[in-house]
Amino acid sequence: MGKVYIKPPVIEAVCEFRLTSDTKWDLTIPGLVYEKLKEDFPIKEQREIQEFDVIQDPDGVKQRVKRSDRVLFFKEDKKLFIQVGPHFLAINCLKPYPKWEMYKPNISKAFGVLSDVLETIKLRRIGLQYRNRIDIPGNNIDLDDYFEFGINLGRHITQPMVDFIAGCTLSFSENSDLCRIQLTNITSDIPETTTVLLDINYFLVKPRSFTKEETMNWIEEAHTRIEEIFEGCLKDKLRELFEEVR
Amino acid sequence: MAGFSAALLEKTDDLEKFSHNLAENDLLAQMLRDKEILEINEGVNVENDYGIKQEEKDAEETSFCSLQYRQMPEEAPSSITYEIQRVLKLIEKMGLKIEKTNDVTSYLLLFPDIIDVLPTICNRVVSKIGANNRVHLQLYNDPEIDDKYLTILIRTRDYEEEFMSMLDALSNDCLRLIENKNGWLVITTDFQDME
Repeated sequence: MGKVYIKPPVIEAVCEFRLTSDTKWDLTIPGLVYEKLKEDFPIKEQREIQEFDVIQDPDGVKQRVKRSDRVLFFKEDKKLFIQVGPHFLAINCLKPYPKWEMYKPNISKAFGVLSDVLETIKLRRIGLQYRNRIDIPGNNIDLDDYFEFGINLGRHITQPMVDFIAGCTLSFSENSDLCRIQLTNITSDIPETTTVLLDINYFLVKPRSFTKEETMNWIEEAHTRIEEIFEGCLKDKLRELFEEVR
Repeated sequence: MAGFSAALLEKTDDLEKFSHNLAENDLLAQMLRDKEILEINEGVNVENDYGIKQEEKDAEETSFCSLQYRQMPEEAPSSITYEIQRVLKLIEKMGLKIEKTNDVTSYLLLFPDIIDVLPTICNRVVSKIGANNRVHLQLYNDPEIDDKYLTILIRTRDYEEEFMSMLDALSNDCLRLIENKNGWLVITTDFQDME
């Protein structure tokens, strides 16, 4: 188990499942899922989602906007919700992040319900993403004091950095999984503070069939790796801001 | 219509033109995925969901067009905080000043069904009132009835009758977009000086 913090920086955790297009889907699916989840997720809302199609044809590359509906099922406090759309399921958990042991059963339940409704599921992508908002006191902080992961400008560039983005993608399980790490500054309402977003997104690249148990094992492993990467990005000075529980 | 990215928009300083043309059909909102652009090539046509092709018009801008994203561009993100961040950035690019971003973000997290229409509403406001006025987006907290909702606050130089009529018409027009939503938004003025 990873370190536990009194002030964890997680603003959102999201676990998403994108199904292959040959998985059977129709307009009744969200309603059937809701029927089985409504005791825990009684509030429902609908959003119109726009997605891109990128099409290559003899005239060149074209981009087209597609619209579809997503239904959101919320817990009473709206801090945890499930999104269901065509060939899509996501379980979002907002700040204050409870802890993995409380979030994971909701993922398991939602995926289990969708599996029951659809009978057969082929996954094109599974993703587990953690978005961390980190408020660091001071306007001109040295990132290197707080992060192991970041930007090295070398010895010759000495100008202050006013805007930055650092990112990379790591390979796991012989390229079957990837993890994208991104560190960027964002505007802050808090005076004399530098606000940084650390986004860690671990996802399955190669589509394959999973049983429910295999899926949950994959997610558990993804979580372990995200935790390792998160800790690997931090320096103790930053951990002090999160106030580790010892 | 070259500037698909915020980075490009910043460089071109031609933001209003782009956002007015595009945000109305939410295309720009979808395209403005800040900091996700790897390369910019030439020659892309954009087609909206009505099948209308929007040709690249300005020759000097056309050379910018066509993008490759680090992230697959065709899929809407799952993260709601990411979407809000993206939408608020777009709104700022339109020229609105967002007061207390954290409060606005918290409201949108509670009522995500208005996230998607917010850029369209803001764009209509900016298009209608022009560049000579000040527009703020903020969260209004009514302490008497413990009610919170988003407010687009417009400040102008002269609060004449014409301005108030325009405000009413604008409000009616935009509120149609949220009439079936759980989140709420009001377009109004506080009659304060623009500065």
